[in-house]
Amino acid sequence: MARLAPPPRAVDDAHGEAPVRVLVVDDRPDDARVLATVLGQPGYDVVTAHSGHEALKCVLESDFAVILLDVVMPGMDGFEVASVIKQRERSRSTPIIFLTAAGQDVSVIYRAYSVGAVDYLSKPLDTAIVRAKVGIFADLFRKDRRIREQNERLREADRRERELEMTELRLLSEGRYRSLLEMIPASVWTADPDGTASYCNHRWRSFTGLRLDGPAARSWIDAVHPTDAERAANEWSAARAGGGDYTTELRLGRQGGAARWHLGQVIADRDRAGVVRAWVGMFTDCEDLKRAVEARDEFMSIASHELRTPLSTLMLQLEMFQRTFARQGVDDATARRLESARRQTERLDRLVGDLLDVSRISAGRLELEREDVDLTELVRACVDRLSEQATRAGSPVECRAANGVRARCDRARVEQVITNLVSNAVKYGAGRPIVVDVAGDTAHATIRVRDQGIGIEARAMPRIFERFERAVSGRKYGGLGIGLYITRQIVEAHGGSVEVTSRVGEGSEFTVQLPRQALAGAHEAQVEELLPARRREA
Amino acid sequence: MSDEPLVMVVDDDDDLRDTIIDVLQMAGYSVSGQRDGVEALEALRTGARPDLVLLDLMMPRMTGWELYEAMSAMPTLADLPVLIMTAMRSADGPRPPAGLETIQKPFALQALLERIERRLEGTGKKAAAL
Repeated sequence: MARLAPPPRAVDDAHGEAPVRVLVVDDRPDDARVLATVLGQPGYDVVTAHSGHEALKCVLESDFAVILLDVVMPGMDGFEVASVIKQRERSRSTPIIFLTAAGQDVSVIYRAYSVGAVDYLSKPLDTAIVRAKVGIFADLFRKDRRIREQNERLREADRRERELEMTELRLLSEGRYRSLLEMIPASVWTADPDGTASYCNHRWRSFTGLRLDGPAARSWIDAVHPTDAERAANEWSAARAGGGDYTTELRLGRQGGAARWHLGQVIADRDRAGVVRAWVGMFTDCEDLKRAVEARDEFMSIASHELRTPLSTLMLQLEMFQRTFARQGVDDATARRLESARRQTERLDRLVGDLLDVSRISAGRLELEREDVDLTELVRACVDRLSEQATRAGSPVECRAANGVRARCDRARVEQVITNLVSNAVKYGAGRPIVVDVAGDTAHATIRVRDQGIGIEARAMPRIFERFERAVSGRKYGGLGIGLYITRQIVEAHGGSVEVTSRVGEGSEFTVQLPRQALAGAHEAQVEELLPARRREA
Repeated sequence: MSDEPLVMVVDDDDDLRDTIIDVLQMAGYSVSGQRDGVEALEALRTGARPDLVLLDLMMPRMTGWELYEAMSAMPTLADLPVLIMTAMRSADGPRPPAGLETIQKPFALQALLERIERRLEGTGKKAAAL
């Protein structure tokens, strides 16, 4: 392999572009040298090879505008070389001109075309013809190369423009995102996937006095009050170890002031494949809310005392009157009035109890004290207690309880449920009979309360178990709208369910299902958690 | 009438305390009333030993909790039966001292009498039936 023409990549003076390469393959050095000389002019870079193997090596190394290939060579002949060149994707379209001896059999020429030759030249070679034929292919190659280069340049320009647009868009959106973060009244930071802080907003900086960005970057955990810091750090590493998004409550230290409770949300910003790109933490000050809840709890505790103490006196006094009169004898009207006063005092006690229950439930403090309860007996006792009131309303209550249906439940709470449902049935029962039944299978105990009263409109059904919701006008029927809410909360705290079917004008049927055994549900776990604490206090 | 059980009622609400005293006297008990922990402790130190203390929790000067603690620390009073009257449910706030019997306010007359009677079981004291 020898090179006679200018070195590759040198610029052709005439065209201002790189010379094209021409491969000359001939086993006779003289012939090869002649061809190299003939083509040795500006714009060409002639490479010569003296065997088929050498030729293939050259083709592997460079792209050629045209290959001049001798047919007859020892070892690998021209046809074999041509077919290998044509098999290779990269060199498939490189034109091959065969060099044949004078008076060569025409079959050789046919074979040359069949392996992919574009032309042939007979020896002895005519210099002008060689130059002309090679020149055509060299021009084609140059044009092709120019088109390819132009395309490449266009694509590159296009790519750059798109990149620029994307960058602008990203900056714009990032700018908006940042201004949004700067403005919101919550403390926000962002962090890299490994937890290294990358940004914090104005409120974070001004509240905690801790910069998370810049050279002296620190972890956001440094702003957490020492009491909560270890827990916060554990939650944060668990999230990064694969736990993902989480919410938390912790105290953030305030620059030059007392720490304040914050409600925190930490979420992972993920790409389409689900890989974490960044973390965002947002902390909302809930100190005032916490104080308000504490104040409410304290109020509840005081209210329950303050309301119940006068009720205690009233109830005892009324009962004393009743006993005294029972001994001494009294007219029926007075006895009736006294009984009415006593009933109303009881009602007041229940209302106070209901309101306190709502507060307890919203504070997540509805506790159950489970025991083995004979539901049949409990339902019968409730119905007995309410029968006088029911009869007065013209809705006698029939109790169809199977004997000995038992469940592990909070007796007082379940009694409250039954009382609520039966009182409702009496209240909305339109003076028609009410049926209460109790049944049980191996897993559940079922209590049904059915009335034939005014019924519930379909559109009111979804909200009757919500707090302060009522299906009827408050002007026609009194009530706080919390009875069914409490009922559902109690039943669900037991791991049970309450359902209703109803038709306007035909009545309603409420079905309560209670698991007979206490299930270790979420609520139950919560209660269990409280119990050891109580024991510890002892 | 020395066999009548003596019940000490400690409650800062005058009306309620007097009513309970009436109720208990009617039921055949001897009753003394004290308006807070300080008065009660003084009466316990110097007066007749009651068979039962009916104790309110939230009181000025000395609360029911404090009185109970003080009694527990005194050998002569540590074993005195106590029945706590409370308006609070267990979840609502400071709880009654653990292991103590409580009766929820408001209570019905019969319920109160039954609880007191049960609390006195084993002491050999019983009110004369009405």
